[in-house]
Amino acid sequence: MTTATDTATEPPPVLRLDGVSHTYIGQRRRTTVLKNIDYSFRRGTFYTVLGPSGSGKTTLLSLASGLDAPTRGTISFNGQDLTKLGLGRYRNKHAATIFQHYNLLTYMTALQNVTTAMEITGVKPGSGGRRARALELLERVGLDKHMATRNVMRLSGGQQQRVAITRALACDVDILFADEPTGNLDEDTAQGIIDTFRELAHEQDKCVVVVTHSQRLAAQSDRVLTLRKGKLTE
Amino acid sequence: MNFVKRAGLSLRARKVRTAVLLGIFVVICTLLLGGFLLQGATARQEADAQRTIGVDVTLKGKALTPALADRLGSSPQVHRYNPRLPIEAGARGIEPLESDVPRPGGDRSGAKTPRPLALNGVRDSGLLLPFSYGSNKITAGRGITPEDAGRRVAMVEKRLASTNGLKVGDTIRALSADGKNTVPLTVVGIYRDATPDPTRWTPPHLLPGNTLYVPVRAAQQLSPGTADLAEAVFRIGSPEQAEQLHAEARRLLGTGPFDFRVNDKAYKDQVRPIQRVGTFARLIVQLIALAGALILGLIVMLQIRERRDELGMLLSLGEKKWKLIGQHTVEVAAVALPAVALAALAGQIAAQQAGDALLGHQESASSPRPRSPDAVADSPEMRVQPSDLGKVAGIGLGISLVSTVVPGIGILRLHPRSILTDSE
Ligand SMILES: Nc1ncnc2c1ncn2[C@@H]1O[C@H](COP(=O)(O)OP(=O)(O)OP(=O)(O)O)[C@@H](O)[C@H]1O
Ligand SMILES: [Mg+2]
Repeated sequence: MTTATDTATEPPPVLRLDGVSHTYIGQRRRTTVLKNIDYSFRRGTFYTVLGPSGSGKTTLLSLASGLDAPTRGTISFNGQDLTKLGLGRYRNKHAATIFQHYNLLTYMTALQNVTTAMEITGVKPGSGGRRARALELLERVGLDKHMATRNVMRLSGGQQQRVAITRALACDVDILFADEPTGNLDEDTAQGIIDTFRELAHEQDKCVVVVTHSQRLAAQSDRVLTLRKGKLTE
Repeated sequence: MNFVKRAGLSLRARKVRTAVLLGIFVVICTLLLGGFLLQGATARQEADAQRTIGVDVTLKGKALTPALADRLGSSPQVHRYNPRLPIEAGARGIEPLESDVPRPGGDRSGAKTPRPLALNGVRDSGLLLPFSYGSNKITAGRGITPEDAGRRVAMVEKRLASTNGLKVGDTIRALSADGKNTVPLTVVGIYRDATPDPTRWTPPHLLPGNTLYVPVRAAQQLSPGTADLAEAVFRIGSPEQAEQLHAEARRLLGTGPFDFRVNDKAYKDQVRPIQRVGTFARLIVQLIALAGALILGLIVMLQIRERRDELGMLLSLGEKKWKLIGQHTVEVAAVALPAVALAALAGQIAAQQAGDALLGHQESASSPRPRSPDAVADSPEMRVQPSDLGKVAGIGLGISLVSTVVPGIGILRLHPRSILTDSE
């Protein structure tokens, strides 16, 4: 239940879920994963979503990031229904997602993966150009120029994950989604990533939504959401 | 144009795959081109053969007159035609041949004897059976041609020529059956009939040496009013056209009975093998196109997993679908187009050899009996035509697009979520 004082003090919601339900229709049975979820995500906030395996975290994320439309209910970005805005346009301009399985373009270097994403999402080249910006962002997650210009298949799992995160960061979007982004990383690297997320939320006023199993990560977020039996609770 | 750049990166990074694809494409395109060239060459050769060999239709009937033969001869399916108007004639100034053997029962000079020369009014002596089959051969000068129609010329047999010392250019005088008319005839050709002189007494007009060929008009002048055509031969392109000619003959000759005989043996012996090669070439083209599509389809299936992830990822970034298809198209075209160019080189060589082997062989194997010289079809000419290259490029691109883009479209119809989050 949101109160009047809440809306007065907090920034306006950037993403709203209204009565969102999602059902998978299998060959033999239907699985309802999300049940009538209402929630508002705000700018400048770092959210984590916890929940047991199979509870629907990835499903929730894929709906919120515009990869699919819910079977019922509406999701709106800045007050506009995503289906009206266009899921493709929403993904292209406003949301970026880091997947559970890092989906990098295997025929490119780390740097090319990042710059390609910048081109597709139409990030302005800026003063130093996209390449310089991409190198700077990769450097920040601990990937030097030498590693950045190597084919991504010749990077470790953790390094690949960092490329995927950098790619999402490089696309100057309003909302960043991540599905267990630190699962494959050592503690130091994971902490670096978490710091980056917090910085994005607090200094760049982004909305960051991270699905995780890690209590440590959750403890550093602004709001911890739990998904259980199709319901999202704080 | 970032999708073009992506295509370039993809091709460069997947060097081995690109090379294998290029190799397969070159082979497919080469074989396709070879097939097309062979098809083209056989089609040309078939047309040639239809023109030179053709099918001979022999028409006999009471109602058949030289004028009707001309009308039938002007039908579109008729390439050449030759009516034959046999008459008897006497000779002035030359001695007709006579049988060496004494006449049984002694000389009955009182009885009415036919004129000693057998003249045949013809239009195109090359169509006469003994000439086209080679038992008669021209040894000097030429035969009777359509251009001779109004001229007074003759082709005489060697024995008559040597007995009378005739050469090409000499003039003989023929006497009409009723003895009222004399027609001078210039010898334009001398032929040799392989038939030996009969061993029994034979009247002069039946001796092979006394047979002369003259234009139809000249024969008519020597036999006013009464002459009937023995037959007329029409050379048409194919056995299939015989039916049309038959209908035309029926229309022109009215209700009277007539004899319509189709001789398509030469055609079947020489044209059918060419047609078989043509059919074979068409089959090759179809098989290769099919096999090519299957092979490429298989290759694509093997990498569909990789493609799937790639498409999902690019879609999640909000890339436009047409650009994804554009990328695949560029990747495929970048392989297919150089392959067509290479195939143009290789196809030329392959087709020439295939053509020599197939058509050259058929040619020699199928000529058991002699033909007049003009009936020998030329050896096939194979050149890479721009239209053939266009077809190969079209099919090559078609195959590659179908095998690359169609599965891609299948993936694109899915929601990016199901592409990216379904682990299997
Ligand atoms: N495409 C699908 N078709 C049918 N059922 C599906 C599909 N995708 C997921 N599910 C089911 O929906 C439920 C939620 O899946 P989801 O992937 O969202 O869970 P999750 O919370 O991300 O789990 P994990 O922590 O293991 O990643 C599961 O029971 C799963 O089997
Ligand atoms: Mg999950």
